[in-house]
Amino acid sequence: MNVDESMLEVYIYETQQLLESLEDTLLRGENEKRLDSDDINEVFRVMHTIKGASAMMEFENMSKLAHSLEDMFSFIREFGAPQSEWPNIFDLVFAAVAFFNNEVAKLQSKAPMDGDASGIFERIAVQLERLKNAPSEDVPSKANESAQVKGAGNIAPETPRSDAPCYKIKVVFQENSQMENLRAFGVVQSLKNVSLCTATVPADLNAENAAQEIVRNGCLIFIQTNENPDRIKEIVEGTLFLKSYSVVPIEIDDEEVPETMRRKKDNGHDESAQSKASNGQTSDNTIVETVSKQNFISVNVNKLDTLLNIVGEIVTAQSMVINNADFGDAPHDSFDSAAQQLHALINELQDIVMNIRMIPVSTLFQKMRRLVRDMAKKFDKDIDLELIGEETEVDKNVIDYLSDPLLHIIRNSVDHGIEDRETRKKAGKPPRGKITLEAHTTGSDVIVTISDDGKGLQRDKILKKAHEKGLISKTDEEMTDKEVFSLIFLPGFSTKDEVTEFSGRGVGMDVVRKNISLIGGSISLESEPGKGTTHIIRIPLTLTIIDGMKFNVGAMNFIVPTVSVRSAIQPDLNSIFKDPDGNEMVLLQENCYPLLRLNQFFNVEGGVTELSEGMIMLITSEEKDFCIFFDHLDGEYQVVVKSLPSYLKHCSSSLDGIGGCAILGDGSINLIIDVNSL
Amino acid sequence: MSKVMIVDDAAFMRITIKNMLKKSPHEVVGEAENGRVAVERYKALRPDIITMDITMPEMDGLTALKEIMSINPSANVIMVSAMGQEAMVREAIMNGAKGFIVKPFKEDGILAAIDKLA
Repeated sequence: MNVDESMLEVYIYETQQLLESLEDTLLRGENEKRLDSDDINEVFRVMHTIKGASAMMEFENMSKLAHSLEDMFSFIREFGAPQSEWPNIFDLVFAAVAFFNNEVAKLQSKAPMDGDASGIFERIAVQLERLKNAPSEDVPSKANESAQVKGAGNIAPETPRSDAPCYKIKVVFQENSQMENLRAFGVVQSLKNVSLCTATVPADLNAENAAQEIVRNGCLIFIQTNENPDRIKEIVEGTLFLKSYSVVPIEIDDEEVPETMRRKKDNGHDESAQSKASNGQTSDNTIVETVSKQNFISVNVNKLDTLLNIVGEIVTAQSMVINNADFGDAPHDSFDSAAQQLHALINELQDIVMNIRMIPVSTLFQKMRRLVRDMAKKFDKDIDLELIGEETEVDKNVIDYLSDPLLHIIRNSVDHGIEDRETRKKAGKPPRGKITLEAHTTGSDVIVTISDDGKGLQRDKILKKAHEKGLISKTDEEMTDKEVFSLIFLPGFSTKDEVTEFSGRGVGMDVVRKNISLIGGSISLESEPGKGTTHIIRIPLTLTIIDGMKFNVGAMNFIVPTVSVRSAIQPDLNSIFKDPDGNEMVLLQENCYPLLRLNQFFNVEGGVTELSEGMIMLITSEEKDFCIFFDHLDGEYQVVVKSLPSYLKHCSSSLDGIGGCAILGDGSINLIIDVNSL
Repeated sequence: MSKVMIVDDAAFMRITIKNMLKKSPHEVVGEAENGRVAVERYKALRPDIITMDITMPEMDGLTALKEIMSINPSANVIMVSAMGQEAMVREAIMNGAKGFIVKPFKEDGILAAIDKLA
């Protein structure tokens, strides 16, 4: 099949959605240690859909795995599963979901889908065997139902009327049309209205080998009817996937005619009458819901990103037009009022675009459920995860940036924070640990807090480590708890010695902080020994359009967020001096601030080096206020923040101080300064 | 040329079938993501041919088939099934489905089926 990009996209999207909802179902079910029949149906349905779509895309591994799970759940649906088997079933399905997710991720990154599912297949086979051999607790009515359906499929020979002519119909189906027995059954059904009596060879179209037999020899259908042979031909001809057919008259007593038909039998009625009877009701009461559902469409995020970029550029272009120097200083009232109106409309547009991109944090939070589950299992700890404020909405980009920090912090909490059962009992705590993940909004910020009731941060350990690594110069007593705790955000700090599968992979809290500050957020933590730790992440609701001051250093353009700028001045040489260590300081408004020469910091050549020729700006960051020295101030702009391209992110050491980039209306590329990492 | 309605809970399958029909003279006049919507759309759109998935949330394809057949006993419904759904296919046939295709299917398969009913 020709796979076009958009289909692949839909396949990936839909499969991921299905897997996500499946995970939810599983996690919910795992708490209750079993799935109820709705959930079982849901798992079955998801597997069925993935199987079908994957088969169409010719992703054989995916479709086979989905198929074998479908089989297993089909069995569970009919015969149930003993309580003792559920933990294994959950593990198995989780493993399969992980496999699917992996494969889809590969597909997304255009890597070959080379995952080996043979281990899972084996486990499913073993599991299914165990289920089949398990003493059945109760056989739900479903089993009876399907038996009925099967029974109904048999063609009951009807009373022959000796006077009506008999025909032999032979049908052969196209190669590979599949389920040939049912195709033959379809022919019989469509002849039903005209026939008085029917018989087939093979006689039992439900038999296991009936399909193969029909593939080999075709299917013979004998009917007795008063209908015109042309009409019979017409009916048979309407069959889908028919390769060839013939209709020939035959004597009812001919040896070829199956005995069941020759023998007189008082049998035969319309089985479908019953099922047809139940068709009357329609579901008017549920229409309203459908209508409201139709109001949602799913949109590719890339399109939203493009839309946002365009809106961003409109904002820029607008300010270029309105502030255009060509207008001079002459008053132009009508232009101004038109410009005002444009400005208001563009603001509205911007708000709407921002709003479209807002999604609830629930998906992100739900991911954490899975993480906590897996890790708790691995470390043999009992941990509950409480989610609060899942419906809080934030920008899609914020979600993306927030994901890694959250993963990291929760890993830390499970691994280092929450103690094992024994330790907890000794400390007089409940044996089950608890992690709470909460989101809420305050004005323009979202606050995400992650708290655990573990052992808390240990001041002594942190100080010892910090001394070993030479990270502090103050004496221990001088430092407040808050200062000590913030040490863990320093690069290269990690108190856990061994590396575990989940945490401590060399990425530390410094990366967490860097990620969060990239989107203009901040992180802090509170901790009480023995009681637990709380991380507080504060991030802006939307992050993509900011007000910034543009300036240049040499040939490079920079933008610093206006919120971080306190003032920009032409330096007074008399107010600049050096401290005893030789660092330059600026005296401003009776305060001393360190001076950072950006040309030195970023290694830019060709810029202004004489203080008298450049400008300084007083910057306020989370930790300190300081001045930066640059060449020339260009003015204030609204800019759309774009994250740095991934190929730049790999050389992270050289990117200190840069939080992103922005393209202005004139096409110039500007680097956005991350004041917290200067 | 026939008016076709595609019923499948998987958008992927709907798009796949739609793409396959692009080169045919048939026109996709509607889609539905479950049986209940399919029945509603059927009343409104009166398509000539319906491709009907079987396993769907809210209302499955069998129930939808039955409802549609009760609205129009000569409706042309092609069931879209998969291996393992024999029992349901059988029931669908007994309830008036004009035939079925088995996933995974190829373009010529579904086109032939629709052409036949057109």
